[in-house]
Amino acid sequence: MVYLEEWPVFLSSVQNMFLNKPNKTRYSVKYKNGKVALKVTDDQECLQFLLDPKYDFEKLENINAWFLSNMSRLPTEQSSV
Amino acid sequence: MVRSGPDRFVKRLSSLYEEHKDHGTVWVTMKRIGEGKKHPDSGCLIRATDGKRKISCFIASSSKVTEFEPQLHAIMKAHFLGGVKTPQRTRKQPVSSKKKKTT
Repeated sequence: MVYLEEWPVFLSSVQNMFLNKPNKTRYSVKYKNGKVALKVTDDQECLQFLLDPKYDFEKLENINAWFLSNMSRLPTEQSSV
Repeated sequence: MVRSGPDRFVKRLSSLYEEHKDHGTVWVTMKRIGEGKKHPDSGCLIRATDGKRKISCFIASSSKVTEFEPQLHAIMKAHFLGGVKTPQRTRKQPVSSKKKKTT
């Protein structure tokens, strides 16, 4: 499992992972002791990112919104970025 | 696992975060469910757990996402940003102000 350090790299990697395998990709938000760990996996590759919600809550909102919107749409309607 | 509607899921998620604000872990997972024999509709399955209790809800359309997303973010914001512990103030013992009677 890999913890990525740069947000744009993590975001583009997880978006590509979902667009390649929309029915296999899972996105999870783990909250413990004031820290948030984001994990995205397609059962072959696993990408993680640690963030502090006090400073990076907008990033959490953006990625939540992207996954919620794309996971609930039909395959032909999925958007990139 | 308890499957509920989006409104009830948000309330239960809020109580999960509240119970574990000082200790423990809460996971929220999102996964796309495609059309198939088991699931006639496609959509987003959202699950939450603290390791013992499990709750879930299913969002089938984009219109429901526009209603659900702000509620989810409000809960996360309240618990992630509002969990700052305030330092306990120690009470200073009052100085006894007994006056001595002088005759």
